[in-house]
Amino acid sequence: MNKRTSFSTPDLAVNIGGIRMKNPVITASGTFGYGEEMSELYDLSSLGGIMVKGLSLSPQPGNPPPRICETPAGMLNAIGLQNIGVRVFIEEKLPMLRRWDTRIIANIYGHDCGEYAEVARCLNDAEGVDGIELNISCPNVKKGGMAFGTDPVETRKVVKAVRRACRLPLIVKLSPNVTDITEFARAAEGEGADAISLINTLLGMAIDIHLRKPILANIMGGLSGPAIRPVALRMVYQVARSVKVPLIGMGGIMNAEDAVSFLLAGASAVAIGTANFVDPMTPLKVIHGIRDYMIQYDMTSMQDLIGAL
Amino acid sequence: MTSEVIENREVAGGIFRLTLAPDPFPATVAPGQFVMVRTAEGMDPILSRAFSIHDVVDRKIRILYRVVGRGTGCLSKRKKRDGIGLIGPLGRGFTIPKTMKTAWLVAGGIGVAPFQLMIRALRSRKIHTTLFFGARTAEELAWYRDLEGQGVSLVVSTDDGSLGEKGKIVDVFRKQILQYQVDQTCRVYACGPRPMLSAAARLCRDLKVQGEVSLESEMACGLGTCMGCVVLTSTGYQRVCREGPVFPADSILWE
Repeated sequence: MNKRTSFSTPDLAVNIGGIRMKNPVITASGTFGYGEEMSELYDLSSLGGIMVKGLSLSPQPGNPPPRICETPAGMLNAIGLQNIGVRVFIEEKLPMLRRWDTRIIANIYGHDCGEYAEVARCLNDAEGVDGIELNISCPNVKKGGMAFGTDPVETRKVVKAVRRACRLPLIVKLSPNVTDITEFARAAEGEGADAISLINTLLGMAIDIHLRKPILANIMGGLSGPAIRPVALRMVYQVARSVKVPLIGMGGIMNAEDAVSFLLAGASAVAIGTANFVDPMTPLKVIHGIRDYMIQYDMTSMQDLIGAL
Repeated sequence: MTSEVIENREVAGGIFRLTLAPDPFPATVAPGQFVMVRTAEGMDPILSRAFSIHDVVDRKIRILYRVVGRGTGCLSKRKKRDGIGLIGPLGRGFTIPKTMKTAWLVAGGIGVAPFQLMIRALRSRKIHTTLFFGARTAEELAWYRDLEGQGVSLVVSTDDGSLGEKGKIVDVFRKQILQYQVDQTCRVYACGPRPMLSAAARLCRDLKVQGEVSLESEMACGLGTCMGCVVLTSTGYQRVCREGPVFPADSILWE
């Protein structure tokens, strides 16, 4: 091979804990539904993967409105994991999602370890799920969610229970609402997580000073968007130096430059969240932008880019 | 899609009418549907804003908006020939049954926005239409002379009595509707503040007439993925952006 290789198209493929993806761009859970709506706008087969809206054992109504509030360079949400339940997902949504040539990652949560494991078992037995993302970091549900992601003992317990319940590649999604996130990354890795995704939203709040009431009916919500990007990037950088499993970096990624910075910090893939709301075409633009960046700097594979600080 | 600003004119104090030329122009636009609009260039404000489609003229989309906050403030500063990002039309609009003969449109303030396009649809079907239009002051109403001469009966009210009847438009509507013969060929369409909509829904229930309400909600995506804009209905939380913004009046749990 001579120097001409640099003119060939760089290979964007990555392997995230056993999930082989054509490119490192995933859509983040809770910002993409079950893919139906977005499939009206573009070919979902372009994506590396789709992380579906958080699934629980039984359907959940979610929180009362108002559920969202715009903030400087971001937004607060307190959706409360409204979802159709894992069984309806498998019966009604999964067959449709499988039509696309992309990886389907099911985001799951439960009220206790047993429920987490049961949801994972359902998905393990279903045809066509490529991996599980364990949500131990949602700030908007009273039981479960973030309670598991802010106590390392609980993190260990729930990862262990889900690990036993399924053979699918297991990604653990970490909460940023902790003092030392590397402690939680190591706990997840120690219990057999195949990959780690980070970060979920930062717990926040907004007040209407004229009504003298919190804007969100749930009082507090999760902050996302570019406002949290420096925090997310710092945490990806720290965790990349603490564990061996691959990372999926997310938190306010709006464009390819943002995505590249997460990859340089040590993430093997990135997830696009709030940006899907701002411009639904963002994931496609990010894929193209990463490719352009790799061509510009003579990179042939993702190994040239991941952690290349 | 992108669109070009053709005109962004203040038609009354703080009320603007924005005319956009979308590229490509959407295949279908139904009355009561909405568009998500990038109010400013760049990422601040970060979220798009949802506006009902006011009118469609000569392959251009019109939006009628009141400046109430940062998003609409930014939008009001957009100039002719500016490019504005746009997604739409989105959501479910008003339904016009084949057997319908009479339409009563009830508009509160800027809630009049979707009714211009609706009036065009109703008129093309030769449906007898009356617009009940209430606002706070005469100025908010006076610009709307456009409607006169379109074959629509117009009844107006203002909070201060400076034009038309004094009082809330739903009360004016209630008084008038009691004089009409109401049957299944009549339908009420309402858009405006929530108290007005719930009053209109109660009236529809009492008179046993079909009603449709167009709701407003804070939205992040407008596409049905964020689940942020839900409203409580008799069948649980429904997305205003996807199952709405127009709902049967009797399906909403108003509290």
